[in-house]
Amino acid sequence: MTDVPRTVDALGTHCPVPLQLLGAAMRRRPDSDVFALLADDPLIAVDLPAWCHRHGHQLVDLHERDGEWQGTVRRAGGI
Amino acid sequence: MRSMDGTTSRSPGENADSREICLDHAAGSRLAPTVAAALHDALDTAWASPSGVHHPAAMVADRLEAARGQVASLIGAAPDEVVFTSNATETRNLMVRGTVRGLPGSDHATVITALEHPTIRALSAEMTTETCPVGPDALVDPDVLAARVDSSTAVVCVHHGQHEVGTVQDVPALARAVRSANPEARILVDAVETTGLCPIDVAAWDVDAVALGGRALDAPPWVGALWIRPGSRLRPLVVGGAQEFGKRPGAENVPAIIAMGVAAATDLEARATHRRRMAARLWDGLRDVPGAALTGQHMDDRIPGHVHVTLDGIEGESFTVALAGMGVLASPGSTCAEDAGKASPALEAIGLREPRTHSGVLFTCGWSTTADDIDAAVPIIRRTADTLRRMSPFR
Repeated sequence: MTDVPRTVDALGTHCPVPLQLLGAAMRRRPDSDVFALLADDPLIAVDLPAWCHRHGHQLVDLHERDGEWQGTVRRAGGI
Repeated sequence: MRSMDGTTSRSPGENADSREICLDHAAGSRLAPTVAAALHDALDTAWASPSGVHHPAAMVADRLEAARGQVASLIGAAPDEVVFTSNATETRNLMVRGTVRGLPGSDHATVITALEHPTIRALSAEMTTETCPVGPDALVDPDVLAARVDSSTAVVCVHHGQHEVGTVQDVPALARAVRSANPEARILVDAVETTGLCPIDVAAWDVDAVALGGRALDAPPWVGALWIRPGSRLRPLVVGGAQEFGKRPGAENVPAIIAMGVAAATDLEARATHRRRMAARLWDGLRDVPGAALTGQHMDDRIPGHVHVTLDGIEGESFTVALAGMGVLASPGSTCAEDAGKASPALEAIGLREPRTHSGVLFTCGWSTTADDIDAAVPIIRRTADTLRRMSPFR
């Protein structure tokens, strides 16, 4: 496992695609522990915390700047 | 006819059967037999949606990912850095527009070279663009490029293998020059014409995106791919799904992608060596044609299989039309020259003047080109050139 965040660029996509991309990246990169999700769909502010809670992942950080969100997620068990 | 894979087949309508000799493979080419077989098989068997949850869908998804891995291996990338598209033009659009739309701000200073493909030139018209000149050898000087890059430069576009004159740029040297002038500038490389023909190593290149095409490596032209540096901010041009990492949503052209994967896994050096030999044989047969000049570099330093010549006193489009009438298929090389009667921008960029800028003819060899084809084409080309020169007002 590595703690170097693996960036998942979901800019320009809309719910539920950002979370689909994050889930796919976690499956594709089993060696990565931390993922940085970039998104500009405002719904991510609601959806990402809920998605992490549902799947047991840790939402390390979620912040917005100039209309873009970056969420840092630490993988828990399987998704 | 003996091909790279040892087969001797020739389809109806090609070369000997119809007495036509195709030396226009860069524009369109019969698929290599192994690629065609993979395509036909995929049309029959890879029918399920790779996004589905059932077993046939999973099988197709596995084949799609295998192809992604094959294309990634060709360029030294990780599979999840490769996005499949529907063709080279879409790839170029996604590379440039997607990158620019992912950058902050609205006015993005862009530097392109004078040898870019018309698609890149058209896209650059949407930004504030400066064009980097090239020398008579059709090469971009790294120092000249770096001199046009400053802290305001957002994007730099480089053409790896120039589609018309055939020169291959030293991308790592150009990237180093750009990075030294502005480490933050995004470097976008159009490698559509060199995919599977010239080595591409995205890690060593230190660039941000590379556009790849299917046609050059004997795959269908209706598939392309874009390599994106991990962490790049690239916005999709269309929305609506999570396919291709959300960068190119919509149903994938699975059969063509599988075919591209098979083509990508074919030995690059064998493909390139065959085309180089055929091109060298062709140029050897034409080099003493009065007024003929090879455009750009020496034969060894260009896109394999690519022979672009200018013929003093002969108009390129007329020449190619006359050649087609004699059964030799070639190209004027430039859509400007072909469609609008304008001078070729690439030929102007390397310092040629009228009427030389209208005299370009592009011959491109492919996997199915044989020595017999070249030996049959050369006297036809020479005779046609002689006939047209005697009619030319520029004699």
